[in-house]
Amino acid sequence: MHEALISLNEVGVCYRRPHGFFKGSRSDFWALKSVTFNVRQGETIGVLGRNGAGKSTLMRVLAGIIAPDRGKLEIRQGMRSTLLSIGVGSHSTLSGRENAILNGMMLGASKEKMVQSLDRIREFSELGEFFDEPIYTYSSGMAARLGFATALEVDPDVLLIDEMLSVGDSSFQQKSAKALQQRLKTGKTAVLVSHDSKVIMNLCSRAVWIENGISIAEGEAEVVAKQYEASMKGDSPADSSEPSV
Amino acid sequence: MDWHRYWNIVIYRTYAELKSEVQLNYMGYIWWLLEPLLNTVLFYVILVTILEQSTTGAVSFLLVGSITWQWLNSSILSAANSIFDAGGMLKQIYLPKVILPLISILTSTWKFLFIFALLLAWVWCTGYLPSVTYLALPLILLLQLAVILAFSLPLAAIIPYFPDARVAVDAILRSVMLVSGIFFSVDKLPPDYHFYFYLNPMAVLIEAYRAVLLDGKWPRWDLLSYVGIFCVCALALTTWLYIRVDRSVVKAIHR
Repeated sequence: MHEALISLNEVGVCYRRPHGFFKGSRSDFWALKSVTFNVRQGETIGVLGRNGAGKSTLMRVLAGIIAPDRGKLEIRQGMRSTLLSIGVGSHSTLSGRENAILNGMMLGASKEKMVQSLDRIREFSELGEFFDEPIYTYSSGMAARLGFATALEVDPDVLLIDEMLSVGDSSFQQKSAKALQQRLKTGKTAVLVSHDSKVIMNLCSRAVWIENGISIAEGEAEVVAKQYEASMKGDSPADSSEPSV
Repeated sequence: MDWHRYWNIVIYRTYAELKSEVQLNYMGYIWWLLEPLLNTVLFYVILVTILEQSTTGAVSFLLVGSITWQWLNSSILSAANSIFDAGGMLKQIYLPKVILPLISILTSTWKFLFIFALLLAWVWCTGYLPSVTYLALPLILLLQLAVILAFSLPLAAIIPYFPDARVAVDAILRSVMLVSGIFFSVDKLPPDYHFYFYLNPMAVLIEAYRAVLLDGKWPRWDLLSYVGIFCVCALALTTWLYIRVDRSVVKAIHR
């Protein structure tokens, strides 16, 4: 069996809801109550769950953005897990080229690595001459293409994907989905979050099912996805009244 | 190592901030000069026309005070909100939180250095020539940077938990400005108040700048040591604070 890069053991995360000075005692909200699973080297693991199940919070834990309030999270020494995000922290007056470097560094790559990747980013994003223009001159599609092309170059140890991204026009959507799928199929370690069991079945070998902040099933993607589908048909999602945070 | 990457991020974003300020405002760098100049004009009018004090050296005296105050003021104001304002970004990527106020402080420090160079040119042109006491100037500048860090960093970490404090910061800075000796020197105060006056690190620093730049004297080392010790203690506490909130502050930002 492959080694676990990240292991979660009964992990819980608590949000303190904002409360006014005169509004009495504060209320705690456990977005994750007890989540247990491992992310193993080279696999793509799916996380299934309906809206508000705690998937986004889970991704933030896996990305090291927030620490769990209870339970145990072990991330292998020196390993970097990054949430695939588009254009995070970009600066409108910088050129596409400069933003690609800045974005890449924010997502975890070194400056040298990003400088080497510039030609590929320019080509993949199809920006042409605009690559050296400030991004306030871009359309939103162009900015998204630049963001995606940059994120694709960062190549963290564990890639975290919150819903399959679709950016740009339909031809770019196909191209970007293909590039991402190729990444997942070539032995990249990844965690893919979705509420859509078909996506998980297609792309993942294993899956975890999160319901109300609790991991209630873990195993082969096909099996877990079937269980999840059955439950979605069985009961109405009325009990998922907790808002997504 | 990651610290190298984080440092590159700080440099890159500082560069971006400066570039966007200059590009998005028609007057660019001029704005950086305007605020301390307006303060100087205001205090000059109050001092010379209303309080009828002597005008010799008043402009240089006021400029040294307002320009160095401006560095602290703009650094604290922008750094204090930096983590709170970056909430959206911090929910997507992990960054050591201290990076954000550092970018704000570096941005305003760069602007300050530009204005400070003009201030030096001004005092030389008006007859205050450099003396050997200029050797103390780098130390005073470093101490002020430490004071700026000692106030800005804790504020930046606390404001996500208490957003109301944003309003208070501005109000407190305005009040402290009035008692930092920007438009008066300590000998105008009764001796009983000197102790309290010098509790304010900025009052000590402004006096030190004037001693070096305008009087050709050495600054008061006892007071500067107090400021230094204050900063070391405050920054030690700040380090502890940042370790504590680094991976939880994001949860407090609701926007």
